[in-house]
Amino acid sequence: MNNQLAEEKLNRLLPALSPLAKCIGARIVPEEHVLEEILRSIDVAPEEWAIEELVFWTKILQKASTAATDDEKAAIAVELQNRGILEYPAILAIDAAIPPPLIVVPRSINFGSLKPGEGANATLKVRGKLVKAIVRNNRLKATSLNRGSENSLVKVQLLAGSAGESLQDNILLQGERGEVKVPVAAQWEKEPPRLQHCPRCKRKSLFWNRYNKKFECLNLNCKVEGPSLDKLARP
Amino acid sequence: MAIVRLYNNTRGVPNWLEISEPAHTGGEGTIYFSRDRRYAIKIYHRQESTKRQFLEKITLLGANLTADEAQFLCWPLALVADVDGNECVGCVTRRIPTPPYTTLMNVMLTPRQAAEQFQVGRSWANYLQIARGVARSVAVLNGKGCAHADLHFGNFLVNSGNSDVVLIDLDGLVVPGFLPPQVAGMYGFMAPEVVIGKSTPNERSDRHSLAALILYTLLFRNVMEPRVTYDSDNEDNDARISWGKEAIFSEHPQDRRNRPRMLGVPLFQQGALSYHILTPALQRLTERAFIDGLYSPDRRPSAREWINTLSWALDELWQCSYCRQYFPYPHWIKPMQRRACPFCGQRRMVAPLPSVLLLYEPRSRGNYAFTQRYLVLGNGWKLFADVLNSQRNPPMSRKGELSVGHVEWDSKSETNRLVNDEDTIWRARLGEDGSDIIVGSSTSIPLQPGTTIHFGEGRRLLVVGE
Repeated sequence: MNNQLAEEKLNRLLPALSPLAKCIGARIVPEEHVLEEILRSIDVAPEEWAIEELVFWTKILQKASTAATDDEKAAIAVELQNRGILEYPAILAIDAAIPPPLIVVPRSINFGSLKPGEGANATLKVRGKLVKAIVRNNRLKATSLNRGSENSLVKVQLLAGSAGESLQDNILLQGERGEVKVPVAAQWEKEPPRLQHCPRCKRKSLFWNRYNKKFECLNLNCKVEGPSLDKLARP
Repeated sequence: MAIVRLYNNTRGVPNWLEISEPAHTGGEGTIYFSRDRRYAIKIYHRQESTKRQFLEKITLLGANLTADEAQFLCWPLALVADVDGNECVGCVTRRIPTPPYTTLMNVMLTPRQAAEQFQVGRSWANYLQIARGVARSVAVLNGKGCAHADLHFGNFLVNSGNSDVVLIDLDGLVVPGFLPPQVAGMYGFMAPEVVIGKSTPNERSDRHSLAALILYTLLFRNVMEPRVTYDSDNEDNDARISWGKEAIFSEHPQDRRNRPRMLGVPLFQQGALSYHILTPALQRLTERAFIDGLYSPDRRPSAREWINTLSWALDELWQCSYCRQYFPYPHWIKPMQRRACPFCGQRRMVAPLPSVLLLYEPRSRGNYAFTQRYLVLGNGWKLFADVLNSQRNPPMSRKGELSVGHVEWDSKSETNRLVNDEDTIWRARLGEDGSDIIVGSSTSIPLQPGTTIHFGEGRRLLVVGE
């Protein structure tokens, strides 16, 4: 069974490549009845030649799940191409046949705009065996719970940042087979002007106390204070 | 200024880019340029996760392009994670600078535009090279097992300096079973089976679109342009009928419905160029594409066939002594007095006339086969090494290509002579008396009709036609 199929037969069989690869990617063992089902779904009678070729493709695609490097994947793609399958369907079939390393929800974290000195928390849900969560930014901390099991949680802690600072980085989640980068973004509001108009008394007497991180109105008739302009109150 | 964060970056694209105002908004998305003007960023209007997965697969495929392929296929190089923290679906490609690039449509939409291009120094030979560039980009895609699915003259950018062609909008590729079609295409270039909904875009429909584009580039008109109205009340339905079930080649030998009024009249006299001005091999491909294959997709010529045939056509050009335009020398038209320049109509072909040589491919045991390939060689023209090498097709550029001979006009005997410029000895049998001669380095041979020139074992053979 090393001879390539004739072009006409191959063209009839090619629509089976995608469902076969997805089947392998979903860790379903494509036994003969599964192959027959695939063939019927593409309107090809489950004749001996067709089953034999699908068995051949299955053997090649099953190697994909253990391929660790791009070179190994390329070698598997060449094996498929030697069966007459063109380059791009071969690459995509291998991609579909590899069970996903990790599925992470959400795919990215955006903490949005934070007040100076403020921190934040988020949680990632991870499906697949998580080995390690790596952060390289000293404003971030990632702690994984239930590590090693099929489903785990990663607690992400964003430490307080200073006014005007921004953060664009990734958390690297390493699984048993491959890794996933989760982009993280945050920015801290710029420090307000030292003196501005007070929204209560309308005088230019609202002082920003950078040490206590709060506004203080210096008008003795007003004296409001608070961490933000919308949270000003008399003490 | 907004920050676009990227992932799945390839080919040195940074992790984030700065963008400002939109450069262009289309039906599918908005295009921005990065602040350093190196990249174009497309943000899709519809934020669908399926589109994101689709694009992830396309970038995966792009990683396998060679450096040369990446030059003429403007592939998505990275995907957009978010813009200023707001999750977005989008992709990044390199930005093709305009100028020197412009859309193919801008250089060939009408004969008038073409004439303007001729005035600024572009020749019809450049259009032949552009057509070959168009075919090359489609051939690479089709050869890898995918279809572009939206080939039209707005999706090719042409370098006005060197006729290089770049194919854009590669974010809707079709790989059967893996990447389903995203768009149907553009009327005028869509295959009839796609227009009528009998099939979705695929490699075979790409073949139709490619043929329509090539002929448009060479003849400055859409050879499938309908000239009949089928539904005067509904424009869209009219287009669907005329490009679909009633589609017919404008030069169909039996059905004259779509025949242009001034067909065959020289272009500079407000005429419409006929496909009969093209080389015999190109005429045959045209007939396969628009007569035999119009409703039989499997019979359409492949992109690879177009490349080869367009490349051969570059060796069959001749320059009009009157308007100085290059055109395929019509050696198939006999008698010679009927030959005319398709641009200005000049019929007087003045000496020194070119020689027409037939190329034969070496087969086993000293046999040769004619491959419908010709060479038109005139005084001062060079014979390049690739022409004789049976393993090679004509390269995209002959800059740096070795010349093995050249033609000189012998005014005494009024014949062209081919001079041997290499060290290899050639053997020839003269057409006039059948005598065998040896052509050493720096010696020459008269190109008389019937003369056969043998350049050595394994190389192509030339026979002088006229």
